[in-house]
Amino acid sequence: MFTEKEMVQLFMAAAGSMGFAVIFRIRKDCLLTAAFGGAGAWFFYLLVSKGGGSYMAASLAGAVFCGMWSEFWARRKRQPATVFLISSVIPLIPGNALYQTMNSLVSGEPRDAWRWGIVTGLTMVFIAIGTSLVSALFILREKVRR
Amino acid sequence: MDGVCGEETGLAFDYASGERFLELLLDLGEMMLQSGAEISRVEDTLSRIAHAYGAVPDVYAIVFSIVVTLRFPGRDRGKNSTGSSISITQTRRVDDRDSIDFTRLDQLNDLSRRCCRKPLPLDQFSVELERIREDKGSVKYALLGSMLGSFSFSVFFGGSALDGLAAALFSVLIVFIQNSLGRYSVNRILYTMVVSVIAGTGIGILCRTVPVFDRPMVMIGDIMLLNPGVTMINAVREMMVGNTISGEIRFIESTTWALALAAGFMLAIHLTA
Repeated sequence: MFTEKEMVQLFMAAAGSMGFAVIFRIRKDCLLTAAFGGAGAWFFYLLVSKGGGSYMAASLAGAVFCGMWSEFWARRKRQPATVFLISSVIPLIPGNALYQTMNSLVSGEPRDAWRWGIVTGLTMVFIAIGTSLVSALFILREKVRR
Repeated sequence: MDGVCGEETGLAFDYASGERFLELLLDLGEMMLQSGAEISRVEDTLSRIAHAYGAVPDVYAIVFSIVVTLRFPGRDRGKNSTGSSISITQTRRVDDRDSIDFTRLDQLNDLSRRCCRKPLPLDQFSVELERIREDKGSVKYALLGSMLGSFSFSVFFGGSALDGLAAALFSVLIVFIQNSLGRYSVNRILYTMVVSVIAGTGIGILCRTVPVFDRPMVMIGDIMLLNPGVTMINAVREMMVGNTISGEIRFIESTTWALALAAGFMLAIHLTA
């Protein structure tokens, strides 16, 4: 169901998230959790875009996964949810779109730059919405329980 | 939240010890903010500890400042007593808050949990804080993470293994610059731009002289390392939970960093194209 290129991406998403987890000095027994979180985020991104969803819907799906993943493991590993959220969300960050924006600007194609710029911005917005949505739900759940 | 931490500790505070306690509390809060804790977590933690030590806290934190007022209710309510409760306020400016460090955050959380369960004597509190402050990550570890991160994302976005290796090579340069220049940086905007120009120009020159490397792919690997995406996401999350001011400050900061990064790499592409 996934092409070879996408399998490589999934693997690299895991490795990349792990790299960032190392930079952020995540506890050693949480490194793999962070890595799988990164791969999972990209898995849901791919799933939605293969199903015909836009990059916005795909980013949202990936972000929602990250939110749930981090809330779940935060309780299991007794760590703040941010720890897993920040490291697993990284493959969703639009590094390529940012580069394309800059490149189009330099090569004198403001229209492309504008288009890519919007992609960059909206992707970030949808990641933020997706993750916040999940944390809001969990905060709500705590409040209801009390 | 309330009632979780112990009420009576047997620790009686006068002005001097109260000030000292508050100073330690602010040290803890400062270190939490610096290592990437959310505002609400910092406020919550400081309040809980203050409660545990028998004080009534009033805590307000934003990204670069913490304000705490502690009121210690008068203990002696006998007939000769004036029922004097004392009230102390301190503020702390928080700088250098851009390095996420979850090991440190973990240690700080652990310390505060222990303080809430059974308040530590101030001397011990201070010693433990210093121990946490001393424990800095090794450069080797940061280097390893940066190399892995930049390699992976270079390949992730479609680069070859060679592109990945080049990105990893330049991430070494970036970590080196961060470690040597970071101390002298005037502000993060200028600093981001300088790092981006240096790294971008290096990559540009490499890709021109050795055409096997694909410039976009090498650059993207290192852009992923430098871009403030995480800060930006955190900024929006802060706004969503009601810390509007902190969220907005972080959002504007991270946007300008992203622009600085883009400007730096654009200049580099322009110079080497």
